[in-house]
Amino acid sequence: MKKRNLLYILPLVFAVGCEPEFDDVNLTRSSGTADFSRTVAVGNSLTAGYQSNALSLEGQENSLPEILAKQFALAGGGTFKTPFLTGEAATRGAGVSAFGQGVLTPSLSLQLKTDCLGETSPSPSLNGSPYPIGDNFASIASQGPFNNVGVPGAKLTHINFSGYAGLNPYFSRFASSTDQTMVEHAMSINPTFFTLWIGNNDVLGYSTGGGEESPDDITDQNTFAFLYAGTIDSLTKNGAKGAVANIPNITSIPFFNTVPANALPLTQEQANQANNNPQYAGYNQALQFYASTNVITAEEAAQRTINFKAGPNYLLIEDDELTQLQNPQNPTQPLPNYRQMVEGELLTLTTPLDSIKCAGFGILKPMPGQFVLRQSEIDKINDAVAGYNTTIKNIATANGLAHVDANQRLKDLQSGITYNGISYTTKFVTGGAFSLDGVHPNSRGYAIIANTFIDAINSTYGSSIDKVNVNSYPTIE
Amino acid sequence: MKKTLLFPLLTSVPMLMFAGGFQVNLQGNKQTGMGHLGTALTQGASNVYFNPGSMTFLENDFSSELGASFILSEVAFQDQSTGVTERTDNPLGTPFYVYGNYKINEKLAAGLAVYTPFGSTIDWGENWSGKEQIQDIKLQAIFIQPTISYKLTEKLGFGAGLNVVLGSVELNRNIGGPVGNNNTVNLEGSTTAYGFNTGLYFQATEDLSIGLTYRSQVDVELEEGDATFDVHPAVRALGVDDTKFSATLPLPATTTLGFGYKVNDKLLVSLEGSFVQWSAYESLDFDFEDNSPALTDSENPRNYEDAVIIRVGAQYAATEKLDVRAGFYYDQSPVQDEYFSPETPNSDNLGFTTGASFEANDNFGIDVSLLFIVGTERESSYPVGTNGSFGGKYASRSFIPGIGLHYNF
Repeated sequence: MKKRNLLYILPLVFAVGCEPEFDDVNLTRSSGTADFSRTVAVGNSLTAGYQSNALSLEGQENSLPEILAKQFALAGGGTFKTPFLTGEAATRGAGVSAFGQGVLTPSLSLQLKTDCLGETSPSPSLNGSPYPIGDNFASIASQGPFNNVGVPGAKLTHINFSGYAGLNPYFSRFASSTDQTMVEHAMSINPTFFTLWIGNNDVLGYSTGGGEESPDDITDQNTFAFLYAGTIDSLTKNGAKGAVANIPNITSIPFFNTVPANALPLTQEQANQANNNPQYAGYNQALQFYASTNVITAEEAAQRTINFKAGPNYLLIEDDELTQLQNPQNPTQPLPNYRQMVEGELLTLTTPLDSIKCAGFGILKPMPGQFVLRQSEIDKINDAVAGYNTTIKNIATANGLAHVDANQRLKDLQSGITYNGISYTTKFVTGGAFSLDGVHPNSRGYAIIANTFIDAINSTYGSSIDKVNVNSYPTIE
Repeated sequence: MKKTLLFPLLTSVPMLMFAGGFQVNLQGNKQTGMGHLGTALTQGASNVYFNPGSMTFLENDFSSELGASFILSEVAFQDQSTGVTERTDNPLGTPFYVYGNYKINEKLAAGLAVYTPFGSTIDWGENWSGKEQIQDIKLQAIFIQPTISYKLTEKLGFGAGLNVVLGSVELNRNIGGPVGNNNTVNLEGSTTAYGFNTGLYFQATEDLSIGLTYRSQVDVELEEGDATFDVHPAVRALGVDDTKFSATLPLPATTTLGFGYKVNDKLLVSLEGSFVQWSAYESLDFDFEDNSPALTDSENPRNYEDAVIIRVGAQYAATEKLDVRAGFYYDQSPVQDEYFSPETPNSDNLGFTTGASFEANDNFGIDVSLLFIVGTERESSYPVGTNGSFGGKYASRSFIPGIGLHYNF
């Protein structure tokens, strides 16, 4: 009898199915006037997928061009090859700062660290020891050419520089020859569409090294404009369309926004103690003397006068743009160029906080200049970025390319962006969008930028590429 | 919704699975076989649950039933931007019932019912796209109902029972966070709550019976639940640490009116309508004992709407020893499209049932039933944060065989 009961219901089951099923979503997207059949991505670490001070497989898999390629795939996009790392480099991440010594440095991870005051907090640290290069960077050129031509460290001048592969291990891994330039590698794909995000490193090395104290310099704006135009000419010569992204202001990245210029908390007692330091008392007196004799202006004297107070204090720095003065008590001795930092000046993420808290950096002795961006240095950087961005915008417009305002997107991110209820800001660690080096986004940050590319591409070429779900990408570990 | 968090931790801790779709309509294999109809019928000891007013109208002085069902269910979700479909991997659910009814005299009966009208396990997996909404949830609610019934007139009976509800829940979800991809919270709690079940039964004619029942709202108040966090050390350092929580969940009041009609000696038909006052369920608020900037209390709007259930069914005496049954019901979802969460993936349900009873002798018999539920496809979302949402298309299927025994004398 049970059989008969089953017979009643079987037709029903077959009519509606044992498992819930959906109609297929129409996943074909229009490419508009663009053609994504052969795309290339040219750029620096931001194109390679660099995160937390290293390139890793996870970073490469979630790189901006990989994210975009998956979306392009629904609009006629072809295969997209990234020169993926293998072995230890893939899993642990590979930084090349000690490449000359034969080792690779792993990615940063967040680990609990106890500071000089005995307080424990999570802090970015190398995830294990550096490890031998071995065959981690063996050439994979035979598997190429590659569509992701993102090379960490590349400046604009490098991408057309024959011989760069000999200087940059990330590029030598996949370059067809030591003479091949990055742009030549890209052109060997015969691209129908390209993305270009380059120029960040033309100010970044100078910035992260503390400005004038850095061995790196800012690329001249005219040079930049000349090289950029040449690069676009090369990339578009076969009729390729593309998207170019501008350069975010360095002030919007956590690397410069995490340690405040007034990072020095003092009690009234500590402030008095510092102010009573005979060295500072003499220094302040000398400033009054030179101001009264019109050697320096009253403003400069005020700017240089050292005065600590209870609460947060701006750190003491040396500023070689101040007037060089002699010690009035001992004219053979120069008077130091001390002043305290002011609002708007920046400290790097690499600032040794223990030295401030426990070794008197910024109070008993000036903060070393490599950790400090003075206002004049910030002005130089901002001026260069503004110049580069004008160039990029003009060249994009002249060539009918999609212009990706990454600078504006990072500014938006500074005040906060929400995706499906999850908020992202540029705040270090807790902002959820940047990796632990404070310069490069994490995978979700790259996804945010990928959506900015998609918006620009859709509006320029009339395509209908879907944006990605930022929250579905991994965050930092 | 509160958005004071460093990251949106626990802003939408899932509700317990007491929604219509997981209200388990399996309180008796005889009733289940004909659309889960029983308010206006006298099927046996299961009337202690279905209508306490009819307990004195049962044939035997002593009646008893016990049984269980085996729920094979699957819910599917389709992301409309990627076309990717994800499915639950739910373990077998086994609701059960035990009933006893004793007619002390012609006018008075006493009974005891133990049943599981709510209970489910949904397992979406640890890494599905809605993991920040829910990964898996297990719910059990055992109702223990001592009941008294009195025959007011020859035709009219009234009964009332106290519900002692033993509820427990355990759920896991990913809490997101800026660091660590596997930050999860386990919420576990159990409690005892109280309510009542009342019924009127009217034997209008020899062939026509009418039943009216009212099951009260039960407020399940979880106190001292355990919130256990498995998070990255940096997230813990932000102030996310194990704590206790409390939360209150209303199980809605249900009013049911039913009609039973004996068409002839062999054929019995019945029709029922239920009104479920889900609108009591406005919001689910979690109060954590130890708050921190990263762990604030959370308010989760539900905004359920009252819903109706319509049931029709028939029973046919094929032989002296064999009854066969079939039925259908329509169970309206109380969930609005914009408040639809994957931890309660409840769309309008269509239930198709069939069943049979076989009498071994005058006292003893076996009841079997088969229920097939189609959770109709719907496209819905749940608000996340200030302007986001998680949504897509949902649909479900359940295939539920059941078996029971009855013993009367």
